[in-house]
Amino acid sequence: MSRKRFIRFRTRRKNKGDFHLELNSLLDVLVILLVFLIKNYTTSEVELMIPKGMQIPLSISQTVVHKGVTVQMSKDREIIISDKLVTKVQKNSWSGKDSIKIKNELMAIKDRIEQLNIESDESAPFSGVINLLMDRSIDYYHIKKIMDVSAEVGFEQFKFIVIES
Amino acid sequence: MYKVPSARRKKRKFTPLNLIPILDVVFILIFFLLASAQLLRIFEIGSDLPIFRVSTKQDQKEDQFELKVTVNKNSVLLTNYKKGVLIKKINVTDWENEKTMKDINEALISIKKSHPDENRVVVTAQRSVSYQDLVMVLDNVRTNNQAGVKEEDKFLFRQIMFEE
Repeated sequence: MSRKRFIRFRTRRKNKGDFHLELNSLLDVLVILLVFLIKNYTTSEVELMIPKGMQIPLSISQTVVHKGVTVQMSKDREIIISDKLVTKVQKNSWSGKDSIKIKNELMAIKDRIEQLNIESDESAPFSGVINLLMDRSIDYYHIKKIMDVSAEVGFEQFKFIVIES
Repeated sequence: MYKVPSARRKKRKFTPLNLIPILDVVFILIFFLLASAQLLRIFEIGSDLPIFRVSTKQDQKEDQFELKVTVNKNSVLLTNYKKGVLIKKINVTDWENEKTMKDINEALISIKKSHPDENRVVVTAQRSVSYQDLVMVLDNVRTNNQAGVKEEDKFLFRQIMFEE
């Protein structure tokens, strides 16, 4: 006769309850992760892609980036306007041809924005904002040249793109 | 005393909190935040005004103050642009040196104290000055970086113009 059948042993049998997965610790981890992500969430309306190899300057600024035409200048002084390579300037020099190429490209963008604004009420008017995305090693001479050329076309608000130091 | 069976205290069964719906929400939120997260925190330094143009003689009043910051390779000059008077010269041997940046910031804080209504600054630099060095100076021109500063005193000269 088996042992289970004796009454004196029956009380020792444990009631096996429902299996519950312990989720509290997992939830703790997830809440911490959530708080961290919310804290670091920036409400920028612009998503800027920083090209490989470009080191943009470090800053303590906390102003979020606004919409504008992006003008990039790489370490090799390649000037890219709205993802289109426009020209490559020489070190310590700036030719009239470079200015004309940049002007033409910016003028075309300006015309496109203004045309879109005429055709559609939903499109934003021309703001004249330029987001300058440049390598931290670029010298002031080239920055100034880009600013001068842009201002001649009508882009007169410059936003220097930086990363948090 | 004998208790009738219905009056016997029933053993309360422990029911754990159902965390699964909360977990679902948290997972969705985390997924959304991770998908839209920018790994690099990108910000901007604005120069909202048009490129500075030299004002006419009519605009120039003797009592007016306008700060000009000149960034040279080895120094930073703070001048009253209207009068052409040098306020302070800060020599820079190493741009990475925190003390140098602190000196620049302190000099600008004292200028701001004597001209609290002034928000504009004209910035110019030597052609060989690097972008990073310029940004470091702009940071010190724009904000009071001293510890324990009230939020209302945090800003110094916010309107940056570049000299033509």
